[in-house]
Amino acid sequence: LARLAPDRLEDLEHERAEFSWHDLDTCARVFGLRVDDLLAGEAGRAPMTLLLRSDQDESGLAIRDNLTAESCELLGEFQRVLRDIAELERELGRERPALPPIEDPAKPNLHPGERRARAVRMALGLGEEPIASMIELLDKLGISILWSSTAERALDGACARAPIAAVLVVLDEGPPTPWRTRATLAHELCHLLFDLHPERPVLLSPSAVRGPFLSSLERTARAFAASLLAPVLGVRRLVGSVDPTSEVAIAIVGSTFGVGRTLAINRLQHTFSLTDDKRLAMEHRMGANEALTYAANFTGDRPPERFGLRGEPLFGLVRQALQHGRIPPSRARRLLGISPLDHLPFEGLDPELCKPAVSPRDYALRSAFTYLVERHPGFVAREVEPLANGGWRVGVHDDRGERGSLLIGPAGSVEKDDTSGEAGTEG
Amino acid sequence: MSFHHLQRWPDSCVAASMCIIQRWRGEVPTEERFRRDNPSRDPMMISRLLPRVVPRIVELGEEHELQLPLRGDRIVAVTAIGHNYDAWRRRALPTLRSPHGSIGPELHMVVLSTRLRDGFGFMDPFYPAEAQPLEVSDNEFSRWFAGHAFIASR
Repeated sequence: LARLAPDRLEDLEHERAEFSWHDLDTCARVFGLRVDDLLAGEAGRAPMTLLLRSDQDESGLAIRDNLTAESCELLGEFQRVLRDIAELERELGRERPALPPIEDPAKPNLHPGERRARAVRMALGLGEEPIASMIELLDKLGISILWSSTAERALDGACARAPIAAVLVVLDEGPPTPWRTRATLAHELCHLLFDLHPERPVLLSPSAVRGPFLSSLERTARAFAASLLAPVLGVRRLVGSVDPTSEVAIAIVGSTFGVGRTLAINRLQHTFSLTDDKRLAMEHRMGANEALTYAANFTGDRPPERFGLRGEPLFGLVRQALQHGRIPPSRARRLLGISPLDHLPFEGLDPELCKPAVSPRDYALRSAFTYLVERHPGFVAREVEPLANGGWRVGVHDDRGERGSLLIGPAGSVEKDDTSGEAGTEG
Repeated sequence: MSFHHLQRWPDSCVAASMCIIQRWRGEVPTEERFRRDNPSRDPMMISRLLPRVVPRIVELGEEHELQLPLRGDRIVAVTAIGHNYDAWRRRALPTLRSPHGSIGPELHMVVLSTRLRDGFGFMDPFYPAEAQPLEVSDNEFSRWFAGHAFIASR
């Protein structure tokens, strides 16, 4: 899963090579840890270790069957960001509410997903009304939402209880699908409230599930999401005397409860006990261009503008921590993956805090020195002049005087060496 | 820290940094011999004249990776852009004085000895032992670090 080359792995195992930072970082990510956590010996009790162990106990490698290298990286990075968020919240003295304990009621006549959704609606006082914003609901429960997008989705989402309660929503690149976002948020809420425990602090929701164990968990969470978003009594009351197989019924359920067409049809089938044939006919109207298009108000469930795992909510916390002097600018850069050459993108903050750590001029000077040490020991880089192409000309000297110049490109590489002779000097 | 070594000549920071490594290893420092064996004062000679020293180029933005050897009972000699280093020293440590005067625009060399929460603790052979180890934040370090690191094991 760490994608280390077999030769490299063998060298490391037999102590013929040392772990580089990159090796450690890659390995740490597999465990959902940062390098510091890995070096502190946390791998044994890391969430991913526990997940794979619980997997062995309960389901005969089902999790591993569903874990591609890409989804493992995403899941690992998700958990690393959660650690960063938890750390920043501690440094800012923030506290978040504990997740409410909601019992899974023993009602054998109901599907577990339906049963759980009803319990949650009751515990949170949601009645049978539409949920205007899943984001707001999760926020009230103290659950952070992280966002990621990908061209080829292997994961729909994930969730974790530790170190903070959080869900990950994986969106498709391209046109937004807010109804899917709402369903994913509801789906992960089910896992968070009912499927996670200290021995399984993290769980993933693959786009295509393999294996019976995870299939069962996923089926329940899907049913939960549908029931939570569009409750039976609410759907029944809304449809009233309208033909439940009609396009009008689909449109009012979809637009009122903020769900997609398929989910609306499924809820109508469930609520009005429609046959599978009728359901199929409703679904197929879509292909015959008879389907009504409908619009729902999804403004409450838009992803944040600063998107990605290291976008919101981490971005806002880094800003506050920097503003209040809890972290230095260098840590803010590392947390957000911002180069020392770039400004920290925090409007309204002290410009001194946000300015690049290294100016392009100093970067050119450093590149020149790095080059000279290897190629012309004793030569010294001095004057730095900007060039029209965004690069730099760096004057080179030694004890005896000028020795020509180096042309440094805008990306910091030496593009031309116009130095001459041999030399030697040092401070 | 007891392994600091004050350079005996104004242009001897490479040899003196090697002496800091020697003292850290419990060896007797041989600054004069290093000057003789490395007349061009080439930093790359460190790994040829001293055993168990591995050179490495550290790219901009990867400076924090130097904490890895420091956590593993190693110390790291690093090159510094003299002019930027001196500007930092004047700002951060205005009262620090050296018997050799000021550092010029040439390459300088110091030895990182500890990782701090934000930055590094290090030995500078140009300045007397009393004020050492000096401390520099990650931000400031990236402004004067010249890109070469020499990782020394015991």
